[in-house]
Amino acid sequence: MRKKVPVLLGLVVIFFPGLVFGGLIDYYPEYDAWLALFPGEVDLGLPAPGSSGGDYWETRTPLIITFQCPQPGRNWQLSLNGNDFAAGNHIIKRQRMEWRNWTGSYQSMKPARQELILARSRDFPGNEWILHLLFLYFRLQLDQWEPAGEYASEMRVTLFCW
Amino acid sequence: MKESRFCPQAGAYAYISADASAQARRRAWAWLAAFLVLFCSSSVFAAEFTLKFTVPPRAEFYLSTDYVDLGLPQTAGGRTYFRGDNVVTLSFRTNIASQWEIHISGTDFRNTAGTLIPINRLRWQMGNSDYRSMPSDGESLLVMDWHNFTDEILAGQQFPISYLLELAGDEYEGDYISTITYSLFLP
Repeated sequence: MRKKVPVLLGLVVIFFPGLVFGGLIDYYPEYDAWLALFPGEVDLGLPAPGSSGGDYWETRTPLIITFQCPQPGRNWQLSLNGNDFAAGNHIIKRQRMEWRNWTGSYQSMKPARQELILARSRDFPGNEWILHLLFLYFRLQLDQWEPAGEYASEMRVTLFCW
Repeated sequence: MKESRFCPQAGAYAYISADASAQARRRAWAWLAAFLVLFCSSSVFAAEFTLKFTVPPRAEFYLSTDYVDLGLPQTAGGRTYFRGDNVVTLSFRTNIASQWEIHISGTDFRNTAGTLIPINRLRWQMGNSDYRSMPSDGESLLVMDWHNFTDEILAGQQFPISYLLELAGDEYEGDYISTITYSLFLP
């Protein structure tokens, strides 16, 4: 029995690396594809005064997403999904948050439960073997009198390889 | 006779029993770890992260004036009273949805000669609600609390306040002054 436990744990590490690394890494053995992100929590903290008089939040350190789908001829797509931001009974719609990739310009996140495409293979032709790296920045502008609280949303980054 | 871990021979019993107990503990921990790993891994098909931000608590709370003169008394139906309709407006706005309270308190009316009229004879009215008596000097009364939190309060609301003081007939002449305080308690 004692020998079975490490074997079991080893299998879990191989097939469920997302668990071992706190949900930050996932591995698709059938495609030899990797997806990893860091950190596991992006906290925009307290707001700064906004240009239009409201509150303004912006990430200081980006969310880093790295992935690889190293099969020639395979297509891949990286998407983001998640719910609205919630604090107790109060909700702030997800689409009020904006995101950008490194040097890109900010664009609105889609409404909750709608898939937001972060990157896809057809935008990177001939780059099947490289390790893709995304630096995601987020910002948010709200009226000053939104209900107080710590709002959070669980976001899921999904890599599809086909 | 073959020695068994579960049927130890006399003399070896204590040692084997402790060893078996430690092994059982280790096995239990290993199974617990394996169970947790399997339990948690069942839904992991992608990488996840939490995106969060904090909206700080805010409140605005002020009165339209710091001085109200109820003027000269009026009479009606044998009653003599002072009345001030909508003489103060309380403006209140907060984005805090829990645990705040607004209280009213006041000091007894006093004149320069030192005579007084108890403040609990003064009645007040907020908006179109019924008149309520002021609490006694040194006490306070709940005006509203976070259970009344609405989108109107989030957007900012104004409450006109009226006062009514009916004379009981035992008052001395003079100019009487009282300080009425509205207090906002935040969590």
